[in-house]
Amino acid sequence: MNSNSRNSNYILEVIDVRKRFGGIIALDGVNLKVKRGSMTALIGPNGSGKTTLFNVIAGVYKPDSGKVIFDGTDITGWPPEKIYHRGLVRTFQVPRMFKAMTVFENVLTAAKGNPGERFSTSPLRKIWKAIELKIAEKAVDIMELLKILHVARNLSSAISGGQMKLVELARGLMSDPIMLLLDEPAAGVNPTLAHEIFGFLRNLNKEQGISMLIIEHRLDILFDYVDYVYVMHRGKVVAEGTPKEIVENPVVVDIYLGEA
Amino acid sequence: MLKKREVSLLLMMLLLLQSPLYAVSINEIFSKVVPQIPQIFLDTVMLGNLYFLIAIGITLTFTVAKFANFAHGDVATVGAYAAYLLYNFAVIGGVVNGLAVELGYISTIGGLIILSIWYILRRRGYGNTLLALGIPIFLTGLTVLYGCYVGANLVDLIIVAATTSAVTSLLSYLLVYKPLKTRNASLVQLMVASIGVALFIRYALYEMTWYSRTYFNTEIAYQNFGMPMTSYQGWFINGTLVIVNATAALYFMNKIPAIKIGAGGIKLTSLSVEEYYKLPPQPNISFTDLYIWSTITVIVIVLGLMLLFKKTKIGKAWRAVADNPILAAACGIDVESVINLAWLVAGALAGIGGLFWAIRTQIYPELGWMVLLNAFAVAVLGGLGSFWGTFAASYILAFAEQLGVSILAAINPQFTGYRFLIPFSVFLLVLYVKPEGLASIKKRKA
Amino acid sequence: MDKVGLVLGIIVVAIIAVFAAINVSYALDLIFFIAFYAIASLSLNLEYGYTGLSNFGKVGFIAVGAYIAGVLSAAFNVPFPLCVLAAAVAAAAVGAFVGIPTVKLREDYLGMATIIIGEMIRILLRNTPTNSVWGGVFGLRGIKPPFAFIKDPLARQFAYVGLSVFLFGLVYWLIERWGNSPLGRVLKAIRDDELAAKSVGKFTYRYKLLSLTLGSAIAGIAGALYAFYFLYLNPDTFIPLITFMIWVMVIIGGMANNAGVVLGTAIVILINRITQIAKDYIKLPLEPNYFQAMLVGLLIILFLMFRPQGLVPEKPVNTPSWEVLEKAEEEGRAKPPGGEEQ
Ligand SMILES: Nc1ncnc2c1ncn2[C@@H]1O[C@H](COP(=O)(O)OP(=O)(O)O)[C@@H](O)[C@H]1O
Ligand SMILES: [Mg+2]
Repeated sequence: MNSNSRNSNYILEVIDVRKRFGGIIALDGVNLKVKRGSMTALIGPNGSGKTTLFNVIAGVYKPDSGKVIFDGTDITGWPPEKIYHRGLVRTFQVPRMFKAMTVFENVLTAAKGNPGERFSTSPLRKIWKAIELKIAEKAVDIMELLKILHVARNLSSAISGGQMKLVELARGLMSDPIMLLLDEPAAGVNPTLAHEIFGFLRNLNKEQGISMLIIEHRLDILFDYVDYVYVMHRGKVVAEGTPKEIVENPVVVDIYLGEA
Repeated sequence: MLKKREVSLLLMMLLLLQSPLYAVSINEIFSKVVPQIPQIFLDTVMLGNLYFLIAIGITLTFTVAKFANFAHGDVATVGAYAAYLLYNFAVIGGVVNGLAVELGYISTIGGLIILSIWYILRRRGYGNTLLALGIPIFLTGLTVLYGCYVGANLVDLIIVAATTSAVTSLLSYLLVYKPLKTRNASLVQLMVASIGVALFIRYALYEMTWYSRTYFNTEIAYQNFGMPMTSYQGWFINGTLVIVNATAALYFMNKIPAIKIGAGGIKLTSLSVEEYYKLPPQPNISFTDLYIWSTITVIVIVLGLMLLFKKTKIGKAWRAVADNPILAAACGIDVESVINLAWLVAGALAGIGGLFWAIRTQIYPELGWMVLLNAFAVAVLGGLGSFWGTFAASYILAFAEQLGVSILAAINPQFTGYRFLIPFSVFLLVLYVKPEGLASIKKRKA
Repeated sequence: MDKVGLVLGIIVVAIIAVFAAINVSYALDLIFFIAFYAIASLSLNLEYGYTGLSNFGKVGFIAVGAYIAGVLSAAFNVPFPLCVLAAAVAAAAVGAFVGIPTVKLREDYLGMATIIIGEMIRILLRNTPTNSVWGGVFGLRGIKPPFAFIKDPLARQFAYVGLSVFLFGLVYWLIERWGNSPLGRVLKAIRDDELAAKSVGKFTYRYKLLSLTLGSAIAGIAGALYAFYFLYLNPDTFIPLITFMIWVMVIIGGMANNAGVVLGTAIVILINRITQIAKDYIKLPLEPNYFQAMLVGLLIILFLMFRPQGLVPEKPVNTPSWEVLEKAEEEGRAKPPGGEEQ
């Protein structure tokens, strides 16, 4: 089994994952794999279980059965904070801001390995000042790149929805992740800006080699950027392939027409 | 399955609980506790009834409001006081109390006015809250007037306790929790607000007792309810259970009413005084009217709630709102009315529970608060938000408490002061071992 | 500094100064009470204001501290500093005991567990044998005053109140340092959205448990100070109302703002004192103590509804990171993107 080796071709493997909420079967045996260094999309109509799958991968829910393998490690049932430290970082569909804190603090909080975060060392500034300054510089760089530096001093509950999405992304980037799970990173944003965000993500993917799995609805926007696409419907993966294959796949056309 | 850590914790707790036993021999305790077992079961039913009446309200509001209401106990006290005042002061020295009559009229007419405003507004869709308020206020007025002019009986008291607590409960929601929710208050903030409501109600009642003491020279705190109780005693004689109306034995010279239950079926008879005095001096069981009333009340309430939840549209709507209020609203359910109803029902049941607690012990402004902490233990053991879980937990906790008290008393009568520790320890144990409570057991089977 | 806070702070100091001019001992007593309650409300601020924990049993932790210190001093002649230390450790242990199962559950459970523990402690203390040191309902006597060697009573009171104020300063400094550090950000993040905090890698369970444990230790210290001030303890002074007084102090002062919380503490205590004095002059058809408790309830509700941030709202966590942002802004890097949004 090469799924247990770090050198596997796949950074993330989801094997036959099932999850139900009372009577609702949200995930009905999902299988998918994300190639190392790829930018993979996950599409599907509303309620098809995409977000639930993210929640299972990221440790928010334990799957009823099935496995999640990340970078050669079986992370099934790990708590979210442990998964984060392993290098898998997610964002939320509905942005979850630390709402009484400023945007800047939101981003700073996401940094890894700040010695000032301990009860024992935090009263002594000397110990953590240097690292804190480094983290702040990194935060400023990321925020500048994402064009949210001008709202850095605003309360994170007082910025636009699109900006919140970017703050989520900025938080995700603070830890130098191996892989990002992005839940509709460009939802509610006009197509021009959406293209800009995806272009930016593609750059990140190319330059830093961060693997990505991205949920998005709008196929037309996705196609120029992603390598591979999975389609979910009613808790199952019903189609997969390159963007080109997917557009031509009658099953996918059916699902989307059926929705309309 | 329990994990290793949990098992070792359980064992430690058990060892700790046993430590006082080493002072006395286990045999001695056994010989003292075993004969009391029938009585323990009877007391369990009674105490369980009273726990259930308070705890079920916490569970019901929890299903729709999703926070633990710390004011629930004090809502119960309000109903208990209303019933107490009506019972003792509606008629003073044979004369109808003018104040009570006035209150009765104000409440009746006020209720009618609210209901007529509702009638006028009902088509515009925002009158339902007025309906929910108007009915219990109107009913309160009627029951108070009934109590003044006809005389307050138990049913009258139950209604007045239920309606006043229901109004208090609904008002607390409308004036405090609802506005807070629209302001996006957090769960902790809602809990803190309910503590604010609790303090306000409790000390308003204290203020009332002070007022009564200062201006009317009447003490209304730490008083017995004053309701005459019939007490019954039972003996097991040759396989038949003989239950005697012990109160009657004090007054009737001959013919003391009795029931014989045995292999030959149930027989209503009466005993002569000689027969009565031939019975052993210590009865095997003894109980009062309150045991019977509370049991009947609980049966009626459980059946009523079952009907409401299983057979009516309201029940379906309630469950939908409990599951997912946004979805329910999208399906055209009037979410606000359901939530109003939940607060009304929870309050009403609390009022009845408060009344029985007051009859059992005493009436005082802190009554509901003292009971609330036990009710929390019940609600958590039941698995916060589960109806049958709460029901089962009420009696399990009551049994643990009654058995525990008997054991404590057998060791050293002074130890019964630690009685309160029993439900609280169960509460802490549940948190350590199975925080999902009893509800999780049922779910796993399904 | 915040304007509202500054004005109110000056008024508070002025009132205390007036009291001091009239009666020094009374003013010292007042200052002790403010210091004692401020330590307690700061500990609640750590738990609730920063971390979002609903500790409704604060008075129980104070009682544990007070009784442990009291018993050690009265029965075993343990010196004052060791008693304070033991009080902190004991209260922390109780805090951890409650926290271990509950802080990983929904907030309700911690609320219910702490309020029950608080009452359990009080009733346990009431039921201790009256002929033991604990004293049961008769209370605990025989605590040895720490400054017994000072003969003049006023000077002795002055020394003890001074010591209390010093300890208060220490606690204030510590919580202020915790709050204005990366730790403060983590705690606030947990308070604002625990799942999001977990998703950025914070071990929230550990933080919440530590916050409750350390908060309880601080409450224990407050309890020890109380014990050595009165030299007598009675279980019935540790009623839940005390806990909610402390909640009011935090809520009206401003959560996660230590200066605000101290101000809130001083305001609540001064209102309490002034009504106590006023009741001898003004006759109302009300019992003032009950009325005050009603006000506590009402204030909680009104503040949550109309000024949830309190009199002095919280400030951003102050660490050197802001200098970096400032520099970037000066360099003109923080320009809004061309035209859209704003
Ligand atoms: N916590 C939950 N409790 C109950 N049902 C849920 C929960 N989360 C998701 N669901 C249900 O699971 C299904 C899949 O939802 P979701 O994963 O959000 O879909 P998507 O992200 O593809 O739109 C939906 O029917 C939704 O109602
Ligand atoms: Mg989704």
